[in-house]
This record gives sequence, structure tokens and C-alpha cells, in this order.
Amino acid sequence: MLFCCLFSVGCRRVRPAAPPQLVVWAWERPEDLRFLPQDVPIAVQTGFVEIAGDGFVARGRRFPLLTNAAPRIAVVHIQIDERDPPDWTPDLRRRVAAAVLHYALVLPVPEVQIDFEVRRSQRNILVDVLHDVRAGLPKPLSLSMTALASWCQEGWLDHATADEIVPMLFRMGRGDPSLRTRIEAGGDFLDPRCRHALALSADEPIARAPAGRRVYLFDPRSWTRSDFQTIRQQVERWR
Amino acid sequence: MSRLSGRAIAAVVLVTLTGRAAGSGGPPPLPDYVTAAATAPVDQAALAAGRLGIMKGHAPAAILYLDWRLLNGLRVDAASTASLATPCCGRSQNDESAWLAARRAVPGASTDLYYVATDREGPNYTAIPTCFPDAFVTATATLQARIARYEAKSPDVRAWLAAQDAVFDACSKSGVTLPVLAANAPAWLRADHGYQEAALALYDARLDEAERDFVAIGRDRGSPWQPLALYLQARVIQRRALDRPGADNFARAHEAIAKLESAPAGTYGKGEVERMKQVLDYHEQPAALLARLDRALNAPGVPGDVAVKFKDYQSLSATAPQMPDAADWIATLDPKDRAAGLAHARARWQASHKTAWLLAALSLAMPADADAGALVDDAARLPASDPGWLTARYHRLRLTIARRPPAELRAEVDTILARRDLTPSDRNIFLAVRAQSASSLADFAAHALRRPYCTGAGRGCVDGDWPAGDGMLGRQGHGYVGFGGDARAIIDRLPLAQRLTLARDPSLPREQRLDLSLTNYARAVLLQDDAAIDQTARALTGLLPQVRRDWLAIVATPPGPAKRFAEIVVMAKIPSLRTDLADYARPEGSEPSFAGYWVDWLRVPVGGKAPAPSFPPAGAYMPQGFWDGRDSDAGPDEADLPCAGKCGPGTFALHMPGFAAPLTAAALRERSHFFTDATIGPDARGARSLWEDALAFVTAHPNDPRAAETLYRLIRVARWGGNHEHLGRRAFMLLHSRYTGSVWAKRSPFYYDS
Repeated sequence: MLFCCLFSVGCRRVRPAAPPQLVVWAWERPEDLRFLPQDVPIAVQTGFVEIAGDGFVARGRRFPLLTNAAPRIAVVHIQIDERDPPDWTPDLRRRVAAAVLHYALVLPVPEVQIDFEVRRSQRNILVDVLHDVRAGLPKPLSLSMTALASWCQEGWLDHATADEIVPMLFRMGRGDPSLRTRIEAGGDFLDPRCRHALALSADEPIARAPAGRRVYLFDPRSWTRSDFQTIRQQVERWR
Repeated sequence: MSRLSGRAIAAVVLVTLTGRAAGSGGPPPLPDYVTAAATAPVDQAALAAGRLGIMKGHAPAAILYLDWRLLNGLRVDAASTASLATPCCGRSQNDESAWLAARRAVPGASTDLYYVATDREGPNYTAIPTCFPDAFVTATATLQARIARYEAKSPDVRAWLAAQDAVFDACSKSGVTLPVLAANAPAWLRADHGYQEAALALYDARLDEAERDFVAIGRDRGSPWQPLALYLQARVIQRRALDRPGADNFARAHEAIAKLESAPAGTYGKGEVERMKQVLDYHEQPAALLARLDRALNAPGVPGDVAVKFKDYQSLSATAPQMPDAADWIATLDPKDRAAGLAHARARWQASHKTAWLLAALSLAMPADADAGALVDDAARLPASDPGWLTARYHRLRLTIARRPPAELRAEVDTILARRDLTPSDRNIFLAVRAQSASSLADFAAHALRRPYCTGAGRGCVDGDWPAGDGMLGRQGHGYVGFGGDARAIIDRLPLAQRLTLARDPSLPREQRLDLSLTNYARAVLLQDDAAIDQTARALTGLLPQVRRDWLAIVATPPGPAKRFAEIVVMAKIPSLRTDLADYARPEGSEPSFAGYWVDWLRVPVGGKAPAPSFPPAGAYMPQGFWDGRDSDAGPDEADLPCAGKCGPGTFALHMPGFAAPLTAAALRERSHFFTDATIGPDARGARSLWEDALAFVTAHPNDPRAAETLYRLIRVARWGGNHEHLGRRAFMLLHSRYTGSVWAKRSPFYYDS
């Protein structure tokens, strides 16, 4: 019989949690992140891929990112054109993977992230892409993936060949807010692979989240120093 | 946590209806009731036919430009509508795909090449497009021609392909060189090689070399590439002007383009002249180009290449000292400051008397604005023949719904709904207005359902962000329907008695009656209304037969602790159960796969009262609304439910229909008998938890056949729902001390405490 005591108040009193490591997302729009402290890594979107029917559209970043430090993570955003559902053939799979790998490797970064939200019926596509990208990435590079928070309560992420899963605690829609409430109350994600990182939005602060995790920060508009300082203070108040 | 538990508490937030719709040809559509993007054929057809419908102030700029044309009596046609409605940007891989397939026909060609990158690294982490689709089209056609003439296995064809691979390599890399040609290469291969050398130099930005090569090709009458040379020279010279702007380089570029323009008809690239001129002017004479584009875009007929023209027009307008009228209008529809935008739109309306500016002002106005009354009067005077009439009617209804006689308002909306030319979006919007002015509960039910925007099997028509929320759709006839956001908000503001009546309405699909009955059940249990509990439990035996035995047990048990226990047992099986449609999710599939998370079911002690009972805010019912269950609508709430936030900054605040408005006080009184997530706080200490009641019952009735299973379920509730006073630990201890060896104990090796 095993008794689990997770996130008890007593434990935290004995060993205060270190501030979480922050990562700032530089989404595809003009971004000036020269105000960021040196210890805050940048995850920059370097590629955009949209799958439609038996083809896809791919392109690199169109908008400048100004920064004093080289980004640490290259993010490739993938999406499915809802007007033209994918015809996911082996050939299309190979071509999409090759395009994603290209944009994942355009910068000399140690980490790559795939941002790909899919409907339930499209999960196999995400799993395939992750598998192929993992297989194509040079060994030292780590592969991260973003995840809808609800995915972390299910079992299918076992099939996702990523080194890091980043549940997003924002824009969660109906149903998921209860999960957010649960996280704020000291709970955690069911899938242990989701317990190493999480993501927040600057316009949806969260009162508390599990300590010791890498925290990705999203801003619905181009970042400002003020936005960053506000959300940083919020995160550092988590106890 | 066991795998079984993992499955049982799986949260389903995406499209949860897949299982239910099995056999119906795919997943149900996304619950999108209003679109502004005109990506669906029905919207494009309406625009092309000159039917503006309700102008959506938050539509993409290209769609607003089409609206502008219609409002100003300018023609719109199907081709221009399609080209402007198609979202930009990116490069389709179809041409590249054809190239990759063609090259695999050559024996010995690498077969693991699946993608050719076509942009080069630019400044500040940008990527600059280098190679365009026509390069792949030309290469594919050339390779197929060479194979047809010299055979795929020919070493010369293989050499040609190696060179072409190098050319495409240069699309994304610098320093690429062509393989050296064999001394005995045939003339055709030498000619092709010369062209490939020039193309590679162009991609590599070695412009002097590229120009020299293309000039040489132009002089070579024996080269099959000679007809292309004039155009490609112009391209190189144009690029030099853009890379190194200066009077001399611009003059050379104009000269080269003029030479191409004066070439005989049919000369390769002649059709590109206008576009090339526009590119030059964009950089050299932006003000003059903007004026020219403004004239072209406001001409009676749609200009050729309208999408390209409009893109440059928008881009140049953004930085112009004074915006042209159309660009100003488009920018005004989505201003940073609504009041300033409204003042500007109204001033332009008064100065110009153009309907477009009246609609802009209307879409920005709110009922409390000083200008609103005058705008409403102006809207009323717009003739029915005006393309902006429907938009004006919508905003007039929006701005006056709170003060106009409901009967008059209903008559007006019914007349509009009787029209057959409404797009699905516009019909859903007017249905929302009609539901909010309903005369009775039955009248409300008749207008509460909306058809999701696109119902084609597997095909969505979703503009904007990917909708994260699952829908609560039901089947009606051969299609799907769901409650509009406004309808759900109104239902949640009704007392239990009216909700019970609505749940019995046979005009509603089974799925909607299920959603209503379940939320009614949760309310009835919290209110300890045995008659309502039995009524809903009976209905739910048919609506949610997965737990039929539990519903029957409730009905069969007389009032008292045993009945209360039966009521809670089923609540422990439906984690997504809520009192409101705002945060409820429909249980799907078999009972173990019911998804979601339990909430604290807390009743106010007898004689007590919950603090400040409130309704969920209207924003909780928006398609992608975020609600954590704790915000109330105590403050002003201007969520634009009828138009899903797409009609402009002037929002349509939730309006309770006349029959329902007097009932909200009773609905709030009901809420004072129980806590919700919005009202739980320190004052909840004296509240009675239904989960605690269940644990107490099991403790007192060790032989109840449901006891062990209930303890197992309480452990899960404590982990994913409320865990007051270490509920999970206590349930775990009792389960493992009293029912050791039971299947329920085996399924519960852990508990989680906090």
C-alpha cells in the first residue's frame, strides 16, 4: 500500500520552491525582446505549416524578432485547414515532416518545439509528425511539444515521442476551466509527462501552479516590458 | 493511478460527440454559428450576388473591402470574391510536389527528398522567399520533356537533374555550385546548363552575373530559353533596384520593364509587367501608387489582380499621411478607441452621407452613447433597397431592444426571418435577437436552436482561431442544432420550474433535453426538491440510459437519507455534471468513459444563505469564452452573444426576454440555497457537502451493496474534485479496512491528499 502526499503545504515549508524557469514565446509577429533578462530564454516561431487536403503550405518567419540573446528554442507551428481536412497519406506525412524539420533546424538551437493543436480525430497526425521529427532531429537536440491541458488527463500522449510536454493553461474553452481551478488548488496533471513544464498567457494569470517547472509565457499581443514584468511577478508569487 | 482510473477521468474538451455520431459519416461540425470570413461558398455566393447581409465589423479587411464596394454601388463578381476571401499566406506545395514526383522517374535520383526549402535566412530571424512556384512548374515540364526525348536512364538527363537539384538547393543555401558539365555534353544540355547557371546566380543574389547570363541566353537563338530571357533580365534588374534603391537602379528597372512591355504579344512574362511596375512603385513612389490603387479599387468594375492590388493598398494606407476613404473606413471599423472611432465614423457619415459610414458608426455605437439615438433614427430611414439595410436593421434592434415594445420588435424580426436570402450566419444572429424578445417559454424554445455554420461531413468552415470548446449539438432532421450562447445564458437564468418545463418540450432534440435534464437534476438535488428529482430521474432513464439503474433507484427510494444517497451515487458517476449549461459538458459513451471533473456540491445549512448568489457571466457562453466558474456577472457584461463578437466593437448585451425577466429574482433565490464555484469561499465552512453525506451514509450502512464502489468513487472525487477534510484519505481508509480484497479496493491502490 502506498500513500501519496503530493504538494502538501508542509513539504513546501521545509524546502521553498525555486522560482520557475521562464521561457518567452516569440510568436510570429514583430517582437522586440531586447528588454528581456539574459537568463530568460526565447522560443521563437521559425516555421509555419498548414496542412490542407493532400497538400500543405509551409513558410518561414515573416516578422522580425529583435533580441540581445540568440533564441534557445525553435518553434514550428502546425495547423490543419478546417475547410479542407487532411488526406493523410504516407507521402504527405513524409513531406510535412521534411518541411517541419527544415524550419526546426534553421537556427542553431539546442531545442525544438512543435505547436500543433488537433481535434480528437486528428491525433494520429500529431503523433506521426512528432515521431518523424524526433527521428529526423540530430540526437543532442531535445523535442518539446505544446499540449491542450485536457490531453494531459488522458492516456494517448504515451504515443507522443517528445522529450517535453507543455500543457497550456489558457484559451482552454469549456470544460477545461475546472482543470485550471484544480491546478490553482494544488492539484496536478494526471499524465506524469505533463509535470515538467506548463504554459501561461499574459492575459490569463493563474493564482498558483506546481512549483519547479519550466513556464512558457505567451502574450496575445507583441510583448512589452510591462507585460513581461507583470506576469513574471505573478509567477514569482506562486507558493 | 491505475489505467482504469485514467480512462475513467479522461477529460474530453475537444469534439466529444464522435462516439454518439458513429455511423453518421464522421464527427459532427464545430459549433460555430456565426462567421465573418466568407470562406464558405454560401457567403461568397451571397457577396458575389450583391447581398451584403449583416456587415461584420471584425471581418478580414479583404472582405470589408468587398462590403465597401457593395455599399458604394460598385460591382462585385464571383472571381474577385473568391480571390479576396481566400486567406493568405504561404506557398502551396502542389507545384513542388509535382516536381519531386517527376524527378523520382530518373533512375539513381535520390528518393528521400521530400521537401525543397524556398526561403533564405533574412535579418532578425526572418525568412525571405527566394524561389516561387513557377520555378517548379518550369523544372517539372522541362524534365518531363527531356525524359520524353532522351529517356530517363540517359546520363545526360541524370546530369540535367543533378544541376537542377543544385539550383533548388540554392533557394535556401548560399555557396551552392552547379556540377561541372562533361566536355562531351550535347548542345541541348549545354543550353539548359546555361539557364540553370543564370537561375542559380539569381537565387544567390549574384545579380551582375545573372544579368550577364540572361543577356547571353537572349542572344542565343539556339537556346530553348531564349524566349524567357527578356523577362528574366527585367526580373534581375528589378531585384537590383529593390536591393540597392537609387535613381539609377530604378531607372534601369523601369527601362527593362518597358522593354518587356513593348515586346511582341505572347512574349514570355509580358503578363507580369503590371505587377512588376507595382512592385517598383511601391518602393519608389508609394504615394502615387496608393492614389492609383485607390482609383482602381473604387472603379465600377473589379480591377484585375484585385487581391494583389488590395494587399498593397492596405499596406501603403497604414503608413500614409492621410488614408484614402475605403482604407479609412476599414480601419475605423476596428479602432483601438471605440469612442474615438465612433466620433470619426459619425463625422464622416454626416459629411458624406455614405451608407458605409453610417454602418460603421452603428457598428461602433452602444445604447448608452449620446450619438446612439440619432444613429438609430438614421438607420430607420435607410430604404430597404439599400445594400446596408439588413445591417442597419440589426444594429437598430441591438441598440433599442431594451426599450422597444417586444411585440413590435418580434414582428420586425419575424419579417426578416421569413426571408429566404439570409446566410446561415445572419439567420443565426436574427434568431438570437428573436430568442431574446420571446413572448413565452414556448416561443423562446422555438427560437433558441441554431444550426452550426457548416454541416458537410468532416468539413469545417471555421474562421479565426481553432475553437477549443466542444459543442453541445443535437440531431434534428438530417442536420445538427445547438442552443445559441444567448439561449444558454437565458436558460441558466431561469428558475428550476421553467427549466423543467423546457426540458419536457418535445420540439427540442433529445440531446438538448438531456443537457437540460441533467443540469436540472443537479439543481433539484441541491434544492432537495424531491418532486423535481423524481421527474428528472424518470426522464433521464431514457435520456441517459448508461446509468438507468441509478435513475430507477432514485425514483424507487422514498424520501430520506437513502434517497439522498442514491442521488449522490449517480452524481459520482457523472464528473461533468453542473447546475449551469455554462460549464457543463455532456457525458458521452459508456459510464466509465464519462469525462470531466467533479465540483464541490455544497448545500447551504438550513436557515443559512449563500453569499451574493450570481449567474455565470454572459462571456462564459461565447464560443471560445473562458470561465473558471468563479466570476459572476455582478459588473457590466457586454459579451456579444448573438454575433459571437464578430459584428464590431458595438456589442449586443444579453437581454432577458419579457417572460423571463421577472423570473430572475426567483432564480437567484434558488441559488442562495447552494454554493457554486463562484460563491464558494470561507463562508462555506458551515455548508453540507453531498460527498460528505455519501461518506456518512456508507459509514452507517456497511452492508449497502453500493458502499465499496461509492468509496472508490469518492477517492476519485477527492483527487479531481473537492477534498474537504481529507475526504479521499478517509474514503480510502474505510475502503481498505472494511472491504479489503474487494474489486473496488484493488482498483484504488492510492489516494491523493492535500
